[in-house]
Amino acid sequence: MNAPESDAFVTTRWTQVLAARGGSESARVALGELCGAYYRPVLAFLRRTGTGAEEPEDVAHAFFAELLGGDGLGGVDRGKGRFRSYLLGALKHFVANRHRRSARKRHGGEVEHVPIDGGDAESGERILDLAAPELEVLFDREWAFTVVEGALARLQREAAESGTAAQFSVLKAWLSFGDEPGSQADAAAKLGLNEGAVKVAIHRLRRRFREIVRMEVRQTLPEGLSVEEEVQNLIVALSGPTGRG
Amino acid sequence: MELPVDGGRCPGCQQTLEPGRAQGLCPRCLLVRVAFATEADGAAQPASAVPDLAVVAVAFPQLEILEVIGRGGMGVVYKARQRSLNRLVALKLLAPERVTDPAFAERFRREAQALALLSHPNIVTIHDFGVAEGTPGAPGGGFYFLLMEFVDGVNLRQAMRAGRFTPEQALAIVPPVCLALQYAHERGIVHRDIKPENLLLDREGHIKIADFGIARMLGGGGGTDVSAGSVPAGVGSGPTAGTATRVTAAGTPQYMAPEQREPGQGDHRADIYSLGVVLYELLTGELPGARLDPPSTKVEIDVRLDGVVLRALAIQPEMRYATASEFRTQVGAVAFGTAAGARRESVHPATRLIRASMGFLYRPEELETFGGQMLPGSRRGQWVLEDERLTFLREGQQTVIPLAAIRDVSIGDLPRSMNPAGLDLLQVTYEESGREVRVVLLVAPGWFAWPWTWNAGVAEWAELIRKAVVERTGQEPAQTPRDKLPTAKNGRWAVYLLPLAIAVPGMVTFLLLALSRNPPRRDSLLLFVTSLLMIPLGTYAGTLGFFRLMRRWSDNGKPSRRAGLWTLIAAGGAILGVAATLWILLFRPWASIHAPPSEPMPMPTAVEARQESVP
Repeated sequence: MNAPESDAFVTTRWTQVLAARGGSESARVALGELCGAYYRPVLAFLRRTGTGAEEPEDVAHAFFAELLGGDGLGGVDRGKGRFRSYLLGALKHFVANRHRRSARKRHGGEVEHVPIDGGDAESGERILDLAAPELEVLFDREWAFTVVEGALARLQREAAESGTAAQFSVLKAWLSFGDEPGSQADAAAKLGLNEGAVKVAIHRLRRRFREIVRMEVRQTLPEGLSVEEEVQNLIVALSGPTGRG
Repeated sequence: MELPVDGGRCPGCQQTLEPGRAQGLCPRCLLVRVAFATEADGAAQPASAVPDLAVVAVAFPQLEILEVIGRGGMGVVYKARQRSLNRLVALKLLAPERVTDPAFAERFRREAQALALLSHPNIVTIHDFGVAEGTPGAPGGGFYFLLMEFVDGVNLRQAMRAGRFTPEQALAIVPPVCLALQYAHERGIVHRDIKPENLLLDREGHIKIADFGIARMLGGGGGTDVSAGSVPAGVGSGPTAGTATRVTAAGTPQYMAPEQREPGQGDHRADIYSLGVVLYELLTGELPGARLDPPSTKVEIDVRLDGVVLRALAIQPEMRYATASEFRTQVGAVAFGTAAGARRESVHPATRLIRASMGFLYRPEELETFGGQMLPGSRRGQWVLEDERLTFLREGQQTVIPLAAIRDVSIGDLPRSMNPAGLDLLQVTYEESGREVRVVLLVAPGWFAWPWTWNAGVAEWAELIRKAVVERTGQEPAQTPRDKLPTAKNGRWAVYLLPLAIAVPGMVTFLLLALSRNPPRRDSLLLFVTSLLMIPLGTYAGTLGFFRLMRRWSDNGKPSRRAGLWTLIAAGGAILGVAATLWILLFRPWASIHAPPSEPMPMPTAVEARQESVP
């Protein structure tokens, strides 16, 4: 479990990055892995803010390259912020810079145009308010999805490794929804297990899921912040109206 | 369980689900589980079952929903203000996922009506019940709700967490609960889920029972015959069959009476058991384990409480208090005794369990008959010695011997037919309506015991009963010498009859076979019959002698004069038995019993024949 995972589910520590302030090689690796886990929130954010002619994916890569390229780490807050806040800050900065650059390019020359009326009539693009709460919610929401989906994927992989993939696909519904006693009996019949075994399997699945999520969330927190609080933040982020437009 | 498809909404939180994400699950509910489940409580009630305040507020316009004050397997409880009367109420919504039975609505209505008739200061009053409509998206169409008295306080679980109860405080809680239970039991209503969470303490320290009958309501099963006043108080009338209800197992495992694990089992005495568990927990801070340790072994409390608690926690319902009021009286006696420093002088002294063991009860007359002696294991039951009485419990019946009536406690011999090993019995003589009644106690802790451990057990019981009688009456019961007991002589003939009974059928068969053919040789026939007789007789005498010998040694530490005699019998018997067996095996007398018709007289004996055959 301590070995670095190849996909989204990394076991590095934000505290490690904070402690080394990006100075050490391992901190750099850790940051890279954290960024990998945050790829989708970043992508969603970029999609929402618009990337012009470029593919959002390319822009996301550019962002991470810049972040990991060295300069980015200098911006790591000395305080005790979450990785989530740090990354969002860096992303906003990056997007703002990008917009400024593209605007300069369009307007030809080094003169910087400052929008007066809140709209850029010439490009037809709405000027982004990068401080809008909905962007933050979108970002957090994607992060919550990443955590949940990553944990599910990991459970699925673990189930496949232990030869209980079929069991997982049937029982995963109990990870989120209620406990209708009758339906457990159905599941038991479907899996050819007795009901007691199904109960135990569900219990284990839930416990493991909880472990994985908490572990993953903890990776992104500095010392002293509670995992519970962060999970509740994510629940709040997921509680809004579906944020796809 | 089906993954939600209709409208893509999560059945838990009603959130619209995004197709193709989180494997079709609701990410919010997934995280809610992570955030709100504790490590110890892995299969915690899903928080998704808690409807949002806003949703509830829409469904109950007449109420101002204030906050969630509790949630459990049965549902959610909100604190609310009833607008019309401007009073605080508790609104209980039964967990929608528990309401799966189509017959639930009818059962709910009937039960709630019965519950609403309960009006007792120690029972949470039910103001209203019903189904709230107009809850869009709620599975099952609506909320089944109960509107109840709001108790401003904490439940016993929370109070226990806040600090340990003193024994006095613990004892003060039980009597009002018993009063309320008795009240409900007399009306045919069994709680079925008594536990600390359902016992509420208000700010004045009054205790109130919540959730009466909810376990049964949610338990499924067929209709119940609950109707007010249909069942009389069960004092002294044994099991009050009328209160038994047909339900599937429902309740909280740690507090459930053993019989409640079987669907459809458990009457009002299940509540007494559950309350016993609560009392045990209040006193000791822990739940009774698989081996029931008396509370006084865990904490320093009045030992008389042990008996009170253990009686409530008896596995068999018949052994518990027959009614809640009896339980209350006993607890009250200890509580009162503790406060006043009084002991035996109280009007209803609490009984204390001294010893209990599996065993048998016989009348001495039974031991005089052959059948009585031959069926030693037929009626197993339980002997219970309390400081007030000696009781023998068998399925459906009990024999109670008040200690004050006991006149004689003596140790005697079991009839020898049952007892080649020299087992002791315990005979108790007591007075019952002017007559002397004699009973024989056999105390058998298991199905197998060495004679000396058996006898040590008998001696211990005799001593315990003796002491208890002295403590109760101040008078030592009489003791009859071993050989003066009526059972002493009985059955001695069987010592001899028994081996004969084994040997005779074999011999008769053999004789009949032999005589039906040619005239047999008389001398070898005689030898054979004798040896056949010797095998069982010798073996039996050997066994008898061996055990008698062991007993002498274990009694005195050294062999007595009689032990010498028994040694002789044992040795003689063993030699006879072995010799007879060997003779039969070696010389095969049956081979020479029949004289072949062609051979001339006289026939050689088997031994001669053998010798002749060897050149």
